[in-house]
This record gives sequence, C-alpha cells and structure tokens, in this order.
Amino acid sequence: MIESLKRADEISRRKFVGYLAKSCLGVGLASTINPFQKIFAAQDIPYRPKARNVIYIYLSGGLSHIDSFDTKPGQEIQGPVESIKTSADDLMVSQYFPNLAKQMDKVAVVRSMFSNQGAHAPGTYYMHTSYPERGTIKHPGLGAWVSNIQGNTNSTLPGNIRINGGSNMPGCAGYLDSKHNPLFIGNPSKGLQNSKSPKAITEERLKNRIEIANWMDHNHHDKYDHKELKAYTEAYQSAVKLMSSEDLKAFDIDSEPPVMHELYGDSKFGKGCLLARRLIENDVRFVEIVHGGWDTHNDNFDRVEELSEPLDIGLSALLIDLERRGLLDQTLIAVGTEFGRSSKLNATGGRNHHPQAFSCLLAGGGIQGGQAYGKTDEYGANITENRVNVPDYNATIAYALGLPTDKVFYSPEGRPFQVAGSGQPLKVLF
Amino acid sequence: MNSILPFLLIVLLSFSLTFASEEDLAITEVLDSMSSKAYKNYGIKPPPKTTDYTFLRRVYLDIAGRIPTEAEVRSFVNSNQSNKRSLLIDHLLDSPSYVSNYYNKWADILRIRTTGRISQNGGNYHFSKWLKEALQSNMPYNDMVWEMVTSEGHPWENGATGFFFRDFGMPLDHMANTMQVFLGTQIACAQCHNHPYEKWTQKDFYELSAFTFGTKTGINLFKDDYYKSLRNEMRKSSLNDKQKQVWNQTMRQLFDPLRYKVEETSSSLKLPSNYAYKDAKADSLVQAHVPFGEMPEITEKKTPAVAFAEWMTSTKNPRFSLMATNRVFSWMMGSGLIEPVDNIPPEDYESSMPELSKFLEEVFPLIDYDLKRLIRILANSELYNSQSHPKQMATKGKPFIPGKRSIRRMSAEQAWDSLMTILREDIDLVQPGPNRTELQYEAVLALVENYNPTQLVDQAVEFFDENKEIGDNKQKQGIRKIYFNLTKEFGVDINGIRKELKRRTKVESFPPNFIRASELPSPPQAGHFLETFGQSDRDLIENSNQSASIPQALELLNSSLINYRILHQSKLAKKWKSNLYDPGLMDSIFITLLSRIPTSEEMAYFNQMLPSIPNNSIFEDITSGIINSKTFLFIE
Repeated sequence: MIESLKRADEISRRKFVGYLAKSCLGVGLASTINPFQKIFAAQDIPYRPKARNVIYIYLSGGLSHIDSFDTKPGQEIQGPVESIKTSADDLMVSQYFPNLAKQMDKVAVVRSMFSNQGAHAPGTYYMHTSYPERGTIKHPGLGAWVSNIQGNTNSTLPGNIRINGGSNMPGCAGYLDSKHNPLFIGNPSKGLQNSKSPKAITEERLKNRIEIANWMDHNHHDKYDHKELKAYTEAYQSAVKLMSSEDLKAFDIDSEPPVMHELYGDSKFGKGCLLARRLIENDVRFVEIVHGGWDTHNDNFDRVEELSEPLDIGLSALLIDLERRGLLDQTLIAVGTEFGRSSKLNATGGRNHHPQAFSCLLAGGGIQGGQAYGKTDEYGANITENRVNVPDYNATIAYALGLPTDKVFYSPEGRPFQVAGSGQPLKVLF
Repeated sequence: MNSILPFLLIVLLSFSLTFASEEDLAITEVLDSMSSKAYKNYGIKPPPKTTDYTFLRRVYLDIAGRIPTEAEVRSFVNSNQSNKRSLLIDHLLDSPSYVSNYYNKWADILRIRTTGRISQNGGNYHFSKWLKEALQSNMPYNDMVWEMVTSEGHPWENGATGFFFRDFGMPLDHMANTMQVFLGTQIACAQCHNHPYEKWTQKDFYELSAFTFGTKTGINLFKDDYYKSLRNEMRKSSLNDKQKQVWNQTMRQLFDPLRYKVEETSSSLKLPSNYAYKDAKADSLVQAHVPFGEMPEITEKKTPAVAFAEWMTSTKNPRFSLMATNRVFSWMMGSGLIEPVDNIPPEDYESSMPELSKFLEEVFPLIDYDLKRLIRILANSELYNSQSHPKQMATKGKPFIPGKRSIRRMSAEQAWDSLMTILREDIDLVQPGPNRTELQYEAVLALVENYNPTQLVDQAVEFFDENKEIGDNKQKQGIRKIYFNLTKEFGVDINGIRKELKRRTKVESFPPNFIRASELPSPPQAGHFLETFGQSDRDLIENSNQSASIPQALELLNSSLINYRILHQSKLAKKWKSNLYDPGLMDSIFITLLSRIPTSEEMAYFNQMLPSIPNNSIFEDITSGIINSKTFLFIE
C-alpha cells in the first residue's frame, strides 16, 4: 500500500492534471453502476462491511440543507440560490457546490435526517454520541468505539484523530478509557504538536536525555518498574518511536506536491482534508475534520456561500484523491451537522435552527453513490418520506465498519450502552 | 457496628486541650492506634516511616499542590525541631497554596467551568470565586454544602448559585449529581427506571427530585419589566426595521447574564408519562420524600430546597459525613477506605478499615466539619507518614490497603504548578490580570441601575445615526461594535482591557498565563499542558485522569515550556548560567526537581557525565532527563 502511494505522489503533474480533467468531466459516466450490485441487494445477501476507515466531516453550527443538498428549485424560500445538475441523474445540489456536483455519483445524500435537539451543544452531543446529553454520564463518540472495539491498525499512530477541533466538542472517549480519546490537531499545517525536538537539540543530546530518564527510572527499579506503570513506559516508548518514525510524516502535509495543495485548496478545512487523507493512508482508523461557522442566523446566503467554498473544494478533492488511490472503497466519508435551518428567513436575512429536517452525506466505504434517501416537503420544513433519526445515521457508519450495532456494552457503573444507541443502520444505502 | 463515640469523648476529655491543633494531634493518636490494630488484623508489619525528603515532597504536593522550592527543602531539612512535620503541615494549611490546591480538587468535583458561556453568563466565574473564598476562610464543610444547595439569586449576588447553573435547565440531573457528590449515592439510573441492582426505585428518584424541582435556573428575559419597557421604547423610536433587529440582538446579548437566576418557584414535578411501575400512576404529581433517614418538615417559611439541605447535611444523615471524610482520606492516602468514593452502596458497604471509617465519620461533626482540621488529623497520622509500597499504584475504585500506601502520578494541576514553581520565584503570589468577565457583569449592573430605558434608547438611536452602515451591512460586526460601545458607556472598555492584557504580555518577564493552574481558565484550549495531562474537561464529576498518553511524553521532551522556559529562564537555569563550576549545582538540580539530594550512586553517574569544561548544555540535558523520568512525575 505505502509503496503504491509513494508512486502516486511521484505522478507527474501533467499526467495528474489529465486525470483530474477526466474525473471532473466524467459527468454522467458514473451512473453506469455495476448491475450486479443491484441484483445482490435485491437478493438480500448478507452485506460484508468494506470500510476500514472513516473520515467524518462535522459541519458545526447547523448546515442549511435548503441551500446545499436539499434544494427547492423555484420556491420562494430558496432565495437567490440556484440548483445545478450533478454527475448523478436526478440529484441536484446548490450552485455553491460546483466541484462536488461532478462527484455526486459517489455520494449518497440523506435528506430526511431528524434530531430532537434544537440547540447547538445538545445537538452536537447527540450527533456525535447517539445519546441525549446527560449530566451523569459521558457517552463515547464513534472514533472511540472503533478504537475500543476494533483496536488500532497502525502501531505507532493513534487510531482516533480530530482535526481543527478540541476536547470541548463531544464524541471523545466518554466513559471509555482515555486512551481512546482522539488526538487533537489544532492546525493541520503544523501537524502533531511537540513531535519534533527543538532545533538546538541534536539527535545525540536527545538520546542523552532519554538515557538519563531511563537510568533514573532503572535506578529506582523496584518503584517504577512494575506492571501498573507499564502504560507510562509504553507512552514514552511510543512517543520516541513516533518522533523517529516514518509514520510521523503522515502529519506533514508540506511534503505533498503542489498539485495536491492546489486540489485541496488553501483553506484550513481543505488542509484538514489533505491531512486526513494522509492519516488514512497510514492506517489511522477514524479521522474527524471540524468545519465550523454554519450558524447562519444572519446573512444566510452570503455566509453559506463563503463556508461552502472550502467544503466544496476539500470534499470533492477527497473523493477524487481517495478513489484514485484505490482507498475510497475502504474509506467511509460522512458529512454530519447538528441540525438544518428554517425555510423562513428571519429579519436579518438569516435562517434559524431546524432539527425537524436536515441533510447529511455518506460516501465511499461501500455506500452506493448517486442517490438521495428520504424526502422533505416543498419548503424543506418537514420529512415526508423515510425519516432517519440521528442514531440511525451513526448506526449506518458503524455498520459500514462492521461494528456490532445491537451489542450491549456496559459502562464501569454497569449502565448499558450501544455503539449507536437505539439506531438501526440504513442497509439500503450499500 | 457499635458507635465508638463515647470512647472518643473520653480521649478528648482526658487531655487538657487549649488549641485545636493539639486536640487534632490527640485525635490523630486515636487514629494511629486503629492503624496499628489493623496491621495486626491483616497480619502485616507496620511499614517504615518515610524519610524527611519523601514526606516533604508528599505533603507539599498534597496540601500545597506543588513541589517545594529549593529554599523550602533546605529550611525543612536543616530544622532540628522534633515536631517539624506537624509545624510544616500547619504552615501549609495556612498558606495561599492550600486554597489553590483544594480549589482544583473541588472544581473537578463540582465541574466548575471558567471558559465558555457557563463561565460568563452562567455564573461559574462567580462560583469559582465563591469557592476560593470559602476555602480561604475555611468555611465549615456543612455550611459550604448548605450554601450551595440552598443558594438563590443572580450569580453576582451569590456565587454559590453556580452549583445550580452547572445543570442549567436539567433539574433531574442536578439532583442525581447532588446525591453523588455529597452523599456518595448514585441514583442516576433511577431517573429512567428502577435501579437494576440497588434498592433505588424510579419513584424514589422522583420523590427526591421533587425537593428541588421548583428551583429554577433561568428566567424568561421577555417577562423582565426593565427589558420589556426598554423594548417598548425602542419600538416607538425612529429606528428602521433592520436597526431594530440589530438593537434587539445587541440587547439580548447584553442582558443575557440577567437570565441566569436561581429562583424558587411553585412548579411541581410529575412522574413521566411512560412510567411503568405499579406503585404510582404515570403523569401523577410527586410529593417530595427522602429515600432514607428522617423526612424533613416542609413549612410555609421553609422551602423544599431548604428542607432537603437540612436532611442532607444533618448529623443524622448516615452518609453526609462518611462520604466527605472518605473522600478527604482518599486525597491524602491515594485511595479511599471505601471505593469508589462516590458510589457507596446503600447498605453494607465494605471498608478496608471499618473502625476507622466509622471513627472519621463521627469525628467530622465534632470538629465542626472543619476541612483543614480533618486534613491536619490525617497528615499527622502514622498512615500518612509511612513509606509507600513500591508495587502499589493508585487506581480509581481500588480501596486503600493498610501497609500498602500507593504511589500516584501527579495530577495535571500538580504537574503544571510544580513546573511553575521551578520556573518562577513568586508562584504563590502572582495573580491573574484584569478579568473581562467580571467587568462585563459590572457593565450590565451599571446599565440596569443607572440608565432609564429612554436614555438607553436615545443613546442607541444616536449611535445608529452616527454609524449608519451598521444597521445595513455586516450584522455580526455591527452587533459587536454596539456591544463594545454600550459597555464602554457603562464604564467597561473591553477593547481597552484586551489591549492592556496584550501590553502586559510584552512587558512582564513571563506571559500572564504562567500562573497557578487554579487561576487559569478551565477547561483550557486544546493542546494546553493541563489538558494533555488529564485535567477534567468539567463535563462530569471528578473527570480528571492520570492516564499516560503519547502527547504527554512529547510535551515533556519537546515543548517550549520545558526546552525554552525551564531550561533557559528558570531560577535553576540561572544558577548554572551564573556559575558553571558551582560544586553545589548537582545538589540544586536534585533538590529543585526531586526535593532531595542525589544519592552517591546518582552523584557518581552524573559526575562521570560532566565534561572537564562544563557547559550549559550538559546541565540542560540532565535537568530535562530528570523531568522526563518517572521520579519527577510520581508522588511516593
């Protein structure tokens, strides 16, 4: 795998541009879905999960579904936003997603998302954990569940990483052991904090320092060398291993060729996507990228346009790039948000919170692209077909990874929980 | 179990006691006799007493929350007084460090957030101040709890209200948390169904919650008279529609703090509509009732919240003192006699030293719930002064075993404060700079008190006339600009404070955030040292952790805090920078970092490392090496 990626990086610019042109112009081509797939689905042969990894894009603040993936052409509520055709028949998106439109054959839009939480904090919590927020327990996020149930694939890198977000956003380890917490990358351009020695510290000096630390511990052998302290020793060994490891390069997006930076765009979100792709390549199981600011109570159309640009570029880049590397099949891309936005505009040209109906995306990892699941009414206000509760959406992600959605796990206090709460996976999307 | 109280009284009376501290030492003796008995029962030899060095580091970290300075180590070790350990305990209990250290512990338990909305408007900023003052004045524990549980008013009127705001709009969760924190009783399960393996029923839970269900945490701003009159005036004014909208949002932002008020209402609790048990009907009204102990009287003058507080803090409540003393015991000894500390079964709990548990439970009310005295009694005990067991590591949920004192990793705050102690001279004295939150509150109060609605609206109209673009263009910036402008009118220059904070950062030798953890905002931003080392995110009760992680190791090895600040700017670094040939340097490094002098073996090891012409680098490397060893991060 790594070998083929290195080769991929060396791909000549001209060749790559040619490739891009092909995949971007490939409108309509992709609707030629393998006919066998449909036959298999019809016969209900048990689906074997394909996804190894997840890239979870979280649009915090509440994405306006009406102005993005559930447009209402011709309706007054739509304002100045126009709908455009995509590479998937019968699937339209808003004009703010011209690049993504060419990749929609890879994407399933869930247009009938429903949440019972109308405020940001509880909504974000629910979306990340499938449970309503409680003052007495903290529920784990999907990344922590993956790490807990299936473990890490890469022995040096952590299995759960969150980019552009911190621990204040829910969906961390919850009641699970803190080792399942995501590793937070605040700035994708800077990579992993403190992973390099200061410039003045030569390799020899670093070695000397570690040797002193080890000697001190060894000298107090009876005190600091028993089973229960092993975790601390292991963390040190992993850290040192990581510092000199080839895998650390996974965090270094500067080593990507210029053409890649061009593809993913110059935004923080785009850089986050590029980093996520590198991490996935290095077998990090779960990467979340946070893209905030969607709380468009004021000047909705201008704001959505501004925010959509990096999302459009970054997400379509991911789809193109992962497919080219043969990773899309084993990587599930999910785009979530806490709720949608009201169809009616308020006095400051904004849209208010709307948990009764909103849209989320799924792509790769065995998901059949080019489809829309569920429907809303002509105003995008209410669901008219196939309601999907927040836990169902998470159960679908879990299902794609082969996590047991109906198995009960117990917290240390003995309280029972499930990976996606009471959610049922949307098997029809695969 | 029989009460041992008479026995205790005899002991107390048999001494002619004049000072509390002498009385405490007498109580410690009773405690010691119990531990000797326990050793016999367990069939083990009493563990040896710690060296002065080990004791010193331990007691500094446990009471002051940081390692001692070089000067503090030297003065203790050089003292010839026979009771110097007791004197040091007294000294530390009286120092400002005591407040800082125990604030961290209580803030973890009470989930005090000093960042975000809960801090500013939700009053946790005031809650944090209230707690520090309570610890500073050594408010008796039962009074502290009473003040929190019965608090009313706005945050700035009564900081203890933060206890309610922490569960803003979640009265049922609030009761579950209250029971866990003060009575060690976890009944959260019973919120939705009968407790699966303990005796609590869902009805128990609802009857208990009925006491505080009427205590509301928020008021509807639109019903507030002042706000209403303001809005009416504004509506009549000459502002255009868009300006009015901006005005509305500005005012809501400005008035948001007023929404947070703990208020007793007559609102009553009903059983949930999916209530599934036969002992009551779904949706039926619930009468307040306690699940155990004596039912407190609710009268016209006595609100249900007060009745509940009476029941909870009563000496007759078998859990109140037991819970608190077991918790303080766990702080001092690494684990509680009963574990988990905050999940004690309703009946037949197991204590590793039952007699001692009972004794502490009965002593606490006798010493007037004085936390400092309880700590003094424990810190002077043989249990506290004995060596830790090399193979015993503190683990949540594992009870204390006599003769097997565990070693612990420093908490995030202890580690941070210890590094700060190495870094700067004045760590206990340095205070945080001006606080925006506090000043913003003052602005709102000034507004309510000094401006009548007409004036306020006039002023806003004037402001809009002068800045026409605000109402039309960028809404968010407009609102912010008006907000700053208005608060400035009321005497608070938020932008000015920002600039001042920036200026101070440039002038002072250390950035303003190199202060004690208790004075820093919490939870901190992602990637901060405190977060990396497991400070609580303040979401759940006692949510801090001491688990190892890769970022911790990377922080100690590579961060600028260690490599730039500690190795270049600390008191210690200045020592070798001023004289590389100082023969006492190795002693200073060991005393500063590990609170002890090096052993001969260590001396030999490091001496052979020194080049004939020493340089800064070698001392930097030695210091870094020791900080990265477990000897630094662990408390024996």
